[in-house]
Amino acid sequence: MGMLFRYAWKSFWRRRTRSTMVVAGVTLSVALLVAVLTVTQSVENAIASALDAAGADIVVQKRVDACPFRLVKLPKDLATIDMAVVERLEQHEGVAQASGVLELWAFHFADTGGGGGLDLPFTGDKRSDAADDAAESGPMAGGQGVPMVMGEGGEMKSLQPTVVAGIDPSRRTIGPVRLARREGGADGPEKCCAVTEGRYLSADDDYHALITVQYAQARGIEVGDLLPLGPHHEFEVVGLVDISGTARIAGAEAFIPLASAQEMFGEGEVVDTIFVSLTSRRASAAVEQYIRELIGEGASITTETNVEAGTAALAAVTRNTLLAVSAFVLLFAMLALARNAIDGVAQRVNEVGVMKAIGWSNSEVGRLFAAEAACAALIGGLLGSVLGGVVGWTWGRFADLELPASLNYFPPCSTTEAPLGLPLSTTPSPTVFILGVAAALVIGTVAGLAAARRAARLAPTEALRRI
Amino acid sequence: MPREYISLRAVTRIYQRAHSQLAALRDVSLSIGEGEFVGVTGHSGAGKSTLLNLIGGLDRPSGGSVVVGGTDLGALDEDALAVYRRQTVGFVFQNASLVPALTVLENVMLPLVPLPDAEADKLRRVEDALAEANIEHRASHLPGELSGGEQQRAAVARAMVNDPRLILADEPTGELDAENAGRILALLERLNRQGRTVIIASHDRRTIAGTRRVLHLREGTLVGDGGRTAEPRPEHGDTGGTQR
Ligand SMILES: Nc1ncnc2c1ncn2[C@@H]1O[C@H](COP(=O)(O)OP(=O)(O)O)[C@@H](O)[C@H]1O
Ligand SMILES: [Mg+2]
Repeated sequence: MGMLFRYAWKSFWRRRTRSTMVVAGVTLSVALLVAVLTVTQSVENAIASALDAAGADIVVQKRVDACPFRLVKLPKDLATIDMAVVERLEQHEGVAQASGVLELWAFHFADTGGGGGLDLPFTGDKRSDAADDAAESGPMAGGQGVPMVMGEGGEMKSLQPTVVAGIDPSRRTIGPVRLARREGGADGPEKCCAVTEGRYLSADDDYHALITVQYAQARGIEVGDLLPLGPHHEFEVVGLVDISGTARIAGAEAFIPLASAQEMFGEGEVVDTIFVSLTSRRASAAVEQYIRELIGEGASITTETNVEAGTAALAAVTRNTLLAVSAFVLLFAMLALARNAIDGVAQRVNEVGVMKAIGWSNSEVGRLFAAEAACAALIGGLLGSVLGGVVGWTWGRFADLELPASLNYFPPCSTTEAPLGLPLSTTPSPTVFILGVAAALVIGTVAGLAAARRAARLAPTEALRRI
Repeated sequence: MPREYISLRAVTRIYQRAHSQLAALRDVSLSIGEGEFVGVTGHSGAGKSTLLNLIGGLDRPSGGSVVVGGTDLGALDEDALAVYRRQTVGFVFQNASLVPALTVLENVMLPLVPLPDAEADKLRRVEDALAEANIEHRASHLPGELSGGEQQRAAVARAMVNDPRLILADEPTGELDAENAGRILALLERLNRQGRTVIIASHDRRTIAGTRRVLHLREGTLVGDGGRTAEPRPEHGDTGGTQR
């Protein structure tokens, strides 16, 4: 048996021109498949990482037409959801945890010349009305920088937005800045949020804030400073947190206790984003259905599957299209390979005759041809997997993949950028590699069997007559 | 008379053609003893190759029976026929019968490849065969690098590597010059002297000049069966060696 394969290998290797063509065909088609798989898998992983970072399987929001500007407002087109919904969701079968977050855009006044000054005077109702007006023609309308308002003494003041998320400090395994690893979750601690300085929020905090390192740097804020959020409130910064590295859903610049956020917003016990983790993936469809019933019109449900569909890089060509294309190419390669292998038998008909004459059985001759095709497939599969991996990896190096902006609206003139960038790790995966080689072996075997059948059926006298 | 080794009884081989049938062999009966050295002659198309193929188990008769060494080949299935060819028969063909992608050594090894024997043992047998055919100095060359005579010697080495009882050579000197043809025939004669039954088919009377018995085919019919020592039978005999 081993000897037969060695002979097949020699026969393959010494017919280099022909073999090169075959190997090239297999290589290219396998490379395509592997590249597509690598890219789609890395996109999937990146997307999963965004949900993983929040410790959630489902994120629930409700959308309306963009609401009017206020100094403390919901981001863009988000609508409020009553806290009761969160409680009912948490009771539902299949749901492990449900945690409500109130994400807000809070504007405060800043001196233009002050370079970011935090020493804001309290501003009256009148002024906030004026700010409303100014803002209406500012960021919301044209998106042109920081809106300006006239101060009391006639000096110019700017409206400085901060993206704020009110979170439940007792929920440490779910949410935009969860601290602890999710029960049974596969993600390591590096995916959770690292408090780099100070401390995390605690249950008895009220006007305390945890801010991102990036925001702190941009604004020159340190732990212990007072941070104005919205026109009326100041929060004591208790800690810095690093949320870079992963895209965030409902990520913010400042995290405050949910109750304080609700008070600041002034519409009672409401949230605008709910993070839901499931006891098992199978519950997903049923829970989604229940969420739609609870929220009604405007429900916006984000799961791994539908983030993917909405992710920019894959919007035009979806994963399934790509996979269909590569499957088609593989099929084509298989047919071409089979055709080629059968031609090979025709060209080697006297060889087949001689082998049978010297005592090789039909199946042994068939096996030789099948083994030769397998050699081509194996080499093509290996080369193709490597090539495809390199192509996929290169794509990952240069591709810019972001979460849909709707999952994390930052105002146009925010201090820091919305954490939407999805880190693509296109390090070649062994699974994909094995899959590529396996695909090559399958097409090679099919082609080889076609040739083997042809060779086996050839009557030896018929073959020898053509000598 | 040696013990009967090959026996053909009323063998007919009819080829189906597009609009007609062609009887390549018609009612051929003959008997060949163990260790005989037999020539088969006749014009091109007379049925020589067909006869050898039937004896060698490469083909099956349309009628009649072929028995070799007590085995009725008609009773064997395809795989058993392959085993019969592997164990009992060594074929030598006219030309180009070496696999071009394999070296001489690998070509000679080919009949042994499917066998379960130890590789060292196989290699020793190959080396013996190469030495006997006087081609061992070309063992690692590809057939394309060899002269016609060398190629054919390698083919003879391959035919004897499995130590067959029966050697079938179909136009073994077809494309060789006189000197090389002589070397091949000398090789075949030596194989016969070792006790093997050797049958050479050729349209060229010179090729079979060394054989002890000549079968003469004409349009599929056995028209002559004469031992060199035997009296030519008048009704079948070769009439003065004239070619039609
Ligand atoms: N596979 C085949 N199909 C049809 N006719 C064949 C086939 N093989 C041989 N023949 C015919 O049978 C006759 C005998 O052929 P063959 O045995 O090769 O003759 P020889 O070897 O004496 O030249 C020829 O007429 C040949 O054309
Ligand atoms: Mg012939």
